[in-house]
Amino acid sequence: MNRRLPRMVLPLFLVLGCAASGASFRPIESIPEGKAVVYIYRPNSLIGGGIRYHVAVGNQRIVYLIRGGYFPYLAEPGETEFWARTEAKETITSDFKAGEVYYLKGTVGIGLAVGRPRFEFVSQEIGAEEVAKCKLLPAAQGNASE
Amino acid sequence: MRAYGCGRGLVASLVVALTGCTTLVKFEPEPPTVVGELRLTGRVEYNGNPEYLPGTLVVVEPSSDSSTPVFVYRHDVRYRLSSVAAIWNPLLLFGFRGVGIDVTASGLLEIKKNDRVVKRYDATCVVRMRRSIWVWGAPSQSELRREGLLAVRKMIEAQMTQDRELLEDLLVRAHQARWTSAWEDYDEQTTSENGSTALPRARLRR
Repeated sequence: MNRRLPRMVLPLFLVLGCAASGASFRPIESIPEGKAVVYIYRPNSLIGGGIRYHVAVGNQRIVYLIRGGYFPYLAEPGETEFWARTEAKETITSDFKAGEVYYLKGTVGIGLAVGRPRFEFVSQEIGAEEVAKCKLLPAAQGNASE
Repeated sequence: MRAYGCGRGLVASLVVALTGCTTLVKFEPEPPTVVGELRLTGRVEYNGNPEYLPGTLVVVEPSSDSSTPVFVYRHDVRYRLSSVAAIWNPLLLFGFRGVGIDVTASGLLEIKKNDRVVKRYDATCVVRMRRSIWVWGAPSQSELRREGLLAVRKMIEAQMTQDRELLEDLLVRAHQARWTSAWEDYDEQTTSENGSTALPRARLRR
């Protein structure tokens, strides 16, 4: 029985994955002039917890989004498209205004082989409450390829 | 009889499987397919993507003249994802479209003259996308947003075209009347001063 236990627990860890472990949430105090802040975050949910994905703008990777993590992205004003890919690509676009704060929530939706990325811009109330429970993720390096 | 039943089952399975391979995109309401011709000239206050601006508006250079019509256009988009509970729905495996996104696009156009709103147009369109888990090339949220904003643009263009007479009276004829009147006043003044009207007319023409 004792020998079977690690074999049963290991796949569970692989499925759930590890949650973010960086610094606790700290809001950006002063937004740089001519920029908007987009908090890209993923709630610490067990559903699809083992699925991780890069969030990118154009061909620039922004953050490797894992559950319980967030990243503050400084966006140019105007129309910006965020995207991510697992077994399928998902994109979301919004218009940003300089000096404003936005909350982009990433989750995992149902897929055939693996979960697919899902994005949603949430309200200030919901976003501020959920992102406060997340840990800071490091900025992603390199270019993203579609 | 047994073979017949088996055939029916096969056909039903094929129908379900093939249905599951398609994506359903529905507009509520459907945008108009034909929009009449109307062009209004004025100053446009809009800093979004020009693709979403109603084609009935023609941009002119900024002018300090308060009688120049001003078109203020704003749009907004809301996304709504379908319920997470769908994950547990076993019918998804059989090609049922249980995964989806609703994108609500809305637009508001205000026409101002002499710093006063003289006419207001608004439109809202919900784009509903439903797909099964067997679909890989379904439209993304960005694509649905674009479709929604283009539908809103068409709806506002159609509303404006229906009001053609009113808008032309309100903006074009009133503007022309004002210039004609100013022209005549100026004409009389300059003719009485030096007998020549050529230079002032050229100055007035824009």
